[in-house]
Amino acid sequence: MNAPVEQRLRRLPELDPPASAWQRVTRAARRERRLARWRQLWPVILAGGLTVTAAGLVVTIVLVTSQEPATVAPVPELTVVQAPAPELNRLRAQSRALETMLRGLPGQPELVRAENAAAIATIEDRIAELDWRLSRARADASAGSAEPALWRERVGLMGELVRARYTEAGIAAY
Amino acid sequence: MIRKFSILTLCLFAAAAHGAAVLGVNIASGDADSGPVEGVPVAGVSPGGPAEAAGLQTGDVLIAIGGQTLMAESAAAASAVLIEFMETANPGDALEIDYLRNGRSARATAVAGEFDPSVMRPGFPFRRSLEQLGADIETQLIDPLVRQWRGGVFGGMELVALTPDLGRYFGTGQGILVVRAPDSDVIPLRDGDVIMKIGGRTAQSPAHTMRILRSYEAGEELVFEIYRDQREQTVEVLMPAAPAQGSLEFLRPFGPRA
Repeated sequence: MNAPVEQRLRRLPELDPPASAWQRVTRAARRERRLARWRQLWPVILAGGLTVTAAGLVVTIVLVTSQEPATVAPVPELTVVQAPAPELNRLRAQSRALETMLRGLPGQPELVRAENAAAIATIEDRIAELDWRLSRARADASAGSAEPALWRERVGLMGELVRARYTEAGIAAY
Repeated sequence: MIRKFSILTLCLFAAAAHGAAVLGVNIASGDADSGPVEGVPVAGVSPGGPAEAAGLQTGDVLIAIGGQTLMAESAAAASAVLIEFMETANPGDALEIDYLRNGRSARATAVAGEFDPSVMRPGFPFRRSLEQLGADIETQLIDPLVRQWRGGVFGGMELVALTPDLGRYFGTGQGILVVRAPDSDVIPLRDGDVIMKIGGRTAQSPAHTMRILRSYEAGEELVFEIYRDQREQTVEVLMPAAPAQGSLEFLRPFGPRA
C-alpha cells in the first residue's frame, strides 16, 4: 500500500542545489531566447535600406508608446525644429533602428578575442568621431553639405557594428 | 565628485585636443532659423559611449546643463551652448543630464569619456576624404581594419577582465587576464599573465586594452607591466608593423589554434 504523498516527500533525501543554479538557468534561457529572436531577425537586417527604414518606423512607434523615463513631469511642447531633408530623415531613421537593434543584443561577453574587441572598439570610435562631426556640421557651412555622406557612413558602420556584436554574442553563447 | 551639469552628453571633444572629454551624443547641430526650442534633440547615441551607458537614447531632448537651461531662440543657439559646455568638461567628470523623453522629464548621470586621438591619426584605416565616405564600407573601411588585427601579432589572443575571485587566484586585485596568448611569439605574453598597465596606462577592460595597443605606431617601445607567477614583471618589446595582408574573414569563433 502506498504511503501518503506527504510521507513519501518527507522521506526524500535532502539535496542542496548548486549555488546560483536557478539564476544561471534563468540567464541561459533568457540569452537563448534573445539569440533565437535575433537569428530570425538577422536576414531582415541584411536586407538593407527599405527593411531597416520600415523597422525604424516601427521602432519609433514602439518607443513613443512604450518607453517612459524614470522621473515623470509633464512639460509644455515648445520645440520648433526645421524638418531635415527626406534623405537625411531616411538615414536618421535607419540609424535609430540600428541603435535599437544594438540595445536588444545580449551584453558584451566577458571573454573576448583580442582582434574582435579591437575591431568593435575601432568601429565604435569611428562612429563617435562621426557624431562629433555631425554635431558641428551645420555650424560649419563648409561641412554642411557633407551631412548626407556622414550619415550614410554612420548607417553603414552601425550595420557593421550590429553584425559584429551579434556574431560576438553568438560566439560567446556556445 | 559630481559636477552639477544637467544634461547632456555630446560627443564633444575638439578634434585637435587630445584627451578631451567625450560624451557620445550626436546632436546633429541645429538650424539658426528654426525658431524657439526647448532643448537639443539627440540625433544619435554613440555605441559604447558614456551617454549609452547612462541610458540616453536617440530622440531624447537635452534640456538643461548644470542648472542652465538649453532653451534658446534657435536650435543652432542651443547646440552652441551645449558644445561650449562640453569644451569645459574633463574626462572622468560625472555629468548630470536633464532630458525629455516622450514629453516627460528625466535625469541621468554620465561619466565623460576620453577621446582617443589615435582615431584621428593619419593612415588610420578610417581616415579618408569626404568623397570616399560611404562609398564602400566593406572594402574601404572594414577590410583594412581587419587586416590590421587579423593575423597580426595579437591575433588569437583572448582576454577577460579579472573578477574579484579571479583576482584572488592570480594574486592581484585588478588587471586583464590573458586567457590565451597571441598566436605569434613576437609579443612575449603567456597564458595566465595579468596585464596591469601598458606604457603606464592602466588596462581597464579588454576593449580598452586593445585601444591602448592601437595607439602605438610600429617601432615604438611597448612596455607591459604584468603579473606572472604571483609577482610583478615588466615585458618590453618594439611594436611590430601591421601585416600587409591577411584574412578578410571578419570574425572567427573561439576554438583551437590554427
